[in-house]
Amino acid sequence: MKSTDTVFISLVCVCTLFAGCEAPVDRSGNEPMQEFWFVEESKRRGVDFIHQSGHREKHLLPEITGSGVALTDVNGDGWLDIYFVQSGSLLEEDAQPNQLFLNLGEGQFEMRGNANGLADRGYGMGVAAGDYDNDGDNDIFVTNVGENKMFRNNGAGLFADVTNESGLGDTQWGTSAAFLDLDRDGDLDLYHANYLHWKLEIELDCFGSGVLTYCPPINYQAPAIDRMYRNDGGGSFTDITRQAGINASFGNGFGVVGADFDHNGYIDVFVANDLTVNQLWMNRGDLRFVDESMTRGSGVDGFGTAKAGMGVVSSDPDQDGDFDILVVNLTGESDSFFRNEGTHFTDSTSEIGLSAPSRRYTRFGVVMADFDNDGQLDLYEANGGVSPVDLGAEDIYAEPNTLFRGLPDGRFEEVEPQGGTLESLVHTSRGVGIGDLDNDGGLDLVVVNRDARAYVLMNRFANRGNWIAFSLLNQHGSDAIGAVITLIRDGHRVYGSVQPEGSYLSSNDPRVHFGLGSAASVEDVRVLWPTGEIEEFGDFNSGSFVTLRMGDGSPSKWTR
Amino acid sequence: MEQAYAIDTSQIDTELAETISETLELIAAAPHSSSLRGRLGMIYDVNHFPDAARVMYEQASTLDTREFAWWYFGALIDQQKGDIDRALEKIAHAIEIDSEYVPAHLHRGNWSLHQDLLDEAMDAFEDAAALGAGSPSAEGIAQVHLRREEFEEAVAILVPYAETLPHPQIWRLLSTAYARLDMNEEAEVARALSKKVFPMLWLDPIRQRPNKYVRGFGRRMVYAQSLLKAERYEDALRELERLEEIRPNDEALISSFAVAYEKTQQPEKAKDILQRGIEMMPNQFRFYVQLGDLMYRGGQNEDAFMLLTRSTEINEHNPEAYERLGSVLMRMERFDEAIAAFEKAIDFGFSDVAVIRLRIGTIYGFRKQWAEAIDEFSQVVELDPGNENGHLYLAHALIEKGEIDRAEATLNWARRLGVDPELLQQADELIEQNRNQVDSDVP
Repeated sequence: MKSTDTVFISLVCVCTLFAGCEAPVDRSGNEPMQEFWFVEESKRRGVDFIHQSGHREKHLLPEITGSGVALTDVNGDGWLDIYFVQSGSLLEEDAQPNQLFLNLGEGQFEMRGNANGLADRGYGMGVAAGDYDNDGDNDIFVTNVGENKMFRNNGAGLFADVTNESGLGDTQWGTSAAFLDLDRDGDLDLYHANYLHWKLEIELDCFGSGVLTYCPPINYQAPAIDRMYRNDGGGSFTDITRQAGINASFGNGFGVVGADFDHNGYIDVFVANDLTVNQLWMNRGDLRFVDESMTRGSGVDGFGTAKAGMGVVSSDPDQDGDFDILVVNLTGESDSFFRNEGTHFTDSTSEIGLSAPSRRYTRFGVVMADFDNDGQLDLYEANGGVSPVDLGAEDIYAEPNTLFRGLPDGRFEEVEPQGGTLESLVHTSRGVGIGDLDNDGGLDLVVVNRDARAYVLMNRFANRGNWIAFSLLNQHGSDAIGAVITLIRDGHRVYGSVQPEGSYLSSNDPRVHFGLGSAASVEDVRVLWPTGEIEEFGDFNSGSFVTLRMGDGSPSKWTR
Repeated sequence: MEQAYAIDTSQIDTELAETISETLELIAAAPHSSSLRGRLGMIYDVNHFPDAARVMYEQASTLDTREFAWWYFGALIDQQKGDIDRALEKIAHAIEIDSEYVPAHLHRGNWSLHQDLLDEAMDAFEDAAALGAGSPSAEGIAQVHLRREEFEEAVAILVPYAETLPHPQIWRLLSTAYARLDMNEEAEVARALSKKVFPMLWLDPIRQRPNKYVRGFGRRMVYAQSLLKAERYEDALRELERLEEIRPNDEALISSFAVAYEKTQQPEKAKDILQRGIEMMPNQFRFYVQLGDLMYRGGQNEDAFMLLTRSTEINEHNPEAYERLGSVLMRMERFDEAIAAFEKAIDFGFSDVAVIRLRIGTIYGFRKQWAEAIDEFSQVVELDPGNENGHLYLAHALIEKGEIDRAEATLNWARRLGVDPELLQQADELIEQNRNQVDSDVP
């Protein structure tokens, strides 16, 4: 234990003295001392965001749950900017606002204060980014404990509060949100989860480890119904929660992800619920949804337990062309990996090696991506307790984050050093966003930490493989959220999608990144656009960002 | 012998801190006592200090390698902390000591499944089955068969339990097996019957032993509430009476007392304590709901209405209050208001939507608004295929609306789901009458 602390202190000193250092080095040269994947560079990058839960004396449930982050290019300069959602205070008026950090290029950031119009002061939770008005720029939706906010981008990264006009100002406890084209009409609709009906007056006292702490959500017996909005065009939305059937079931909603799980051409929605059954809203095609989570095997785990679902990711780690689901849960509960079998899901958590190692910590944020560019998806989980973990620690809820390397046999194994960083990083982590902040072909992470500084984890894996990344743009020049791209890599067909939603309360880089290992090119690139058309775009060399526009490809003879 | 693990007690509940301190002193006086170290392990365990508990159980089992509990409790903590390999080692030790304790075999089977150790899992579940574990061991054996893609074997082990002791988890596994065998009709029925959510649990009396070391008002309150949930009402009352000496005016205490009194057939005492709670905490909406519910059960509709209305004024988002209010209004035949209250209960997250939809449908049926009733009852059977009244009422409403074929299909589906045939008979007769009527009307 002591020796680890000594290493930690010496590394901090090295990086403080030599601000330009990119990776810890030993005294003899430039070789990395130990294999590490990320370096925490928030200070060096100019990203100084400190989350505030607002906790004082009484334990108010929202304080332990936030918050999220969006990695999105707000000014169209080709560099991902970072927008942090600030929680603030549930009791005081003068809470700190959300904060935008503009990427000046190469992953160097500048804090913008309120200059861009995004400094909402609600008790912030989550964020979704997407071009809801089809004018070619990314707009921002923020969920709060209280009124949610919609901000319209004028194209130059300046935002106007259009909450009233948009009709998106639900006043419950909003959590994760997703812009998705649910009716295939070419504009983005919106789904957001709600956690529970909370207000100060219903707060309860709960105890854990001999001290007062936060209560589990089931004690409140007030799960909230999520919200679904149809984009009507012209900047306004209609709440279609009831018509769509979304009020037929509910839970303590945290994570949201969309994908066409049954290949019927329409985006379905999966919601990870905390201690209540997950929802799988299958899209029947006419903006009617039916929750089939229980009949399709993704509502509870393989043992019939409704776990404490937090963050969620949907991807295709087994590369069989359909989207699987991974939900992260509370300490003592393993992750739940629901493998898509076409007509139903199977809980295959133990088969991918996550059943034991995932249950040590309480996980919230989660992303699945190829960090080392070896062609296998890896897994990063952002952890932190909801009841005391170590009463002697400065942050009694703090836990280390974890990184799992994807193996060729489809299993995951935990990476050492823990979390992929040489520096020991132990905070109460919540939302995590993923994206290539410095456009170097390696995926970076931004992690929000409760009542602490956010991490900016720059990808410094020593021997990353080749890569390629695609921007898939619709006819309006906007990210085609929900578009699926498939290509041949090393003789095998692989899949990805434009999916900024997922993780926990956060919004990710919409570009689709593929690690290629030693492959120098990819072949036969095809895109299934959200509107149902399939186009072919040919072959591409590795090592670049490629923009594919709807209509520029050749119509495909292939069907879905 | 190693020092006993001492946590920092400076911030924690005084009663708990004292218990820990006393036990540490006892251990200092008798450092080779396995039972004292095990006791400290149980104190830590049940009061949520798992790391400390793990250390103490290991120390205790080192001193007395033949004590089942220390290995068993230690294994349970290890698996919770993700160290399943170590948990399996410890549970194997425990089973060596007592090979007839069924829960140990079931845990071993489940943890082996988590580690993808299918042969070990099968051995453990078969051992449990040999000891008479019943459906939990059958579930485990079926899980192993499914992982091995032995679908017919899975069906064979599950079907007897589906017929005699149906549990949603049995149906869930059956649906997977049937689907993989392309038995789609059977899979459809099994899926419908697997919708309810509760994991398969089993009695674990040894696991209850640490509960006597629950300390601190908060933890003991949680324990008392768990006794209420387990329907051990007299035990709960005794625990609550002890807590009353510490904090007599605690909100959770009053609420729990009311439940315990009601369940032990002392409704007047329940009402009195809730009334006292309202006087002390007039904005505590839960008291109004509980008291309103008691009034409703006692037939005092007006009082119930006032109390429940007051509750919704204090907290406009409480689904329980709206559900009760809807029921009161229904009984008062104020149907439009009842429907509105029920809809609010759904909007605010009432836990059983099917129950509410059934009531709304019943109101529409009473008013002969058959289209609306059909819509509601259809939702009931979609949400809860095991709801017998839902099927029956849906069939009746369809017959009334003249949709005889659809009514017949509804009854057929209900039959496939195993709804009591006697219940369906009346609806069958109605269909028959309607068909005869139609036949006689044909010129």
